[in-house]
Amino acid sequence: MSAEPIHATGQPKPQVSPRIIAPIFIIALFSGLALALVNSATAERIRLVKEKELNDALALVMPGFDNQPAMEKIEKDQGKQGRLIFYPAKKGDQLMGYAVESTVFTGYSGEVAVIYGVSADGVVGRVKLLRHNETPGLGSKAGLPGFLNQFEKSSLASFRYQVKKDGGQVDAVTGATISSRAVALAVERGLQDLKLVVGN
Amino acid sequence: MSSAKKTAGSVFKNGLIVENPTLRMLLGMCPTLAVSTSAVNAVGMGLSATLVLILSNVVISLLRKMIPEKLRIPGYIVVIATFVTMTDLALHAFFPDIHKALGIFIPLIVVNCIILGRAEAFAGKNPVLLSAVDGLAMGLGFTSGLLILGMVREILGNGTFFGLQVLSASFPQVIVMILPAGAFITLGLTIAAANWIESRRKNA
Repeated sequence: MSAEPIHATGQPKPQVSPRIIAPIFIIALFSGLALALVNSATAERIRLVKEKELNDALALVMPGFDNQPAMEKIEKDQGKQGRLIFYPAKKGDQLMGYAVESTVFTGYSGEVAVIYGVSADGVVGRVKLLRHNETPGLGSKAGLPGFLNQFEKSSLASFRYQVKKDGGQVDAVTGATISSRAVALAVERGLQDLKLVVGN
Repeated sequence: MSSAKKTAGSVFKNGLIVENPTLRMLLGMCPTLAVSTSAVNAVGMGLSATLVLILSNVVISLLRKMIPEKLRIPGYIVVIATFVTMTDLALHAFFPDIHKALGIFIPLIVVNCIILGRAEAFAGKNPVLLSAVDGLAMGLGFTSGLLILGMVREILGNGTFFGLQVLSASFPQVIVMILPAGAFITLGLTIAAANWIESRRKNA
């Protein structure tokens, strides 16, 4: 070792020879090729899975439309406050209402997204918890019908979208006040914004 | 293990029981604690990791004479990351429900130390077939450890077994079992039980 040239830092100079680099290069090359293949083989299916997920949710919260709500969606990104997407549901040329996808970041573990139907006169239909990272078996119970059904037929005029602890009318899931709060907030924010967009 | 001649049977028993990665070697604790909230998640995570383990063990064993000693860790990681990404894409395309439930923990299989550990300790030094058996056995060992935790936590914390209600709704649910603290408590008691069984086996 003492015969080796010493680097300025006192460390032996790193040896980089093509003999060492070549195998790694080849492995990386084949990995990249393999990933490109798998990606192109699954991309279409993954797109369909996502599309089906959205369409199933739309059909659940706003049944009976015959247009393509996903084609006419209106997106509103509100930074740290959340994200809103409005899907207009139409039958013939008649606007039935909107499916609202509302995301907030105030869940117990961050993002909580709900989707729900709103009729043209501002009354909430069915609500579905779309995405969340809440504690399984605890906060995740905010996704069960027992909790979500209380929003049905509610509207901004007739309902206070806060949990009872905060002076509202929402029955929180036992032991999951934060998750319940996040869902209630997501519903309320979508309704408030829809009012601005549609102006009724 | 190292002195005796390795056979498929001895390698399999070693991975599943003697050196069970979860309960004996205490490897891969992060996914073990985080994903064992329900039995279904435990099985999904365990089998995904098993698949990656078998594939990466086979490829690393095939390449073991080609990968230079000094750069073996980056080489292993590239192979492992490739298979993890493939598994992630395949799960998303064909098992969207499991993919949704496991979320971030699938990409994190890349840094699961069981997989790199087996590449380093076994697949880098042993022939292909034995490495495949080792991957399968270690994967099943990991899955069984996860499954024990998942079942205990799900039954006590949520009153369900693989999603089916087994304790009546009036039976009090021990919510702490679902929370991280419950994961540590269950893991500690399970390891204690494994140690007790092991010591009795040795003394017998």
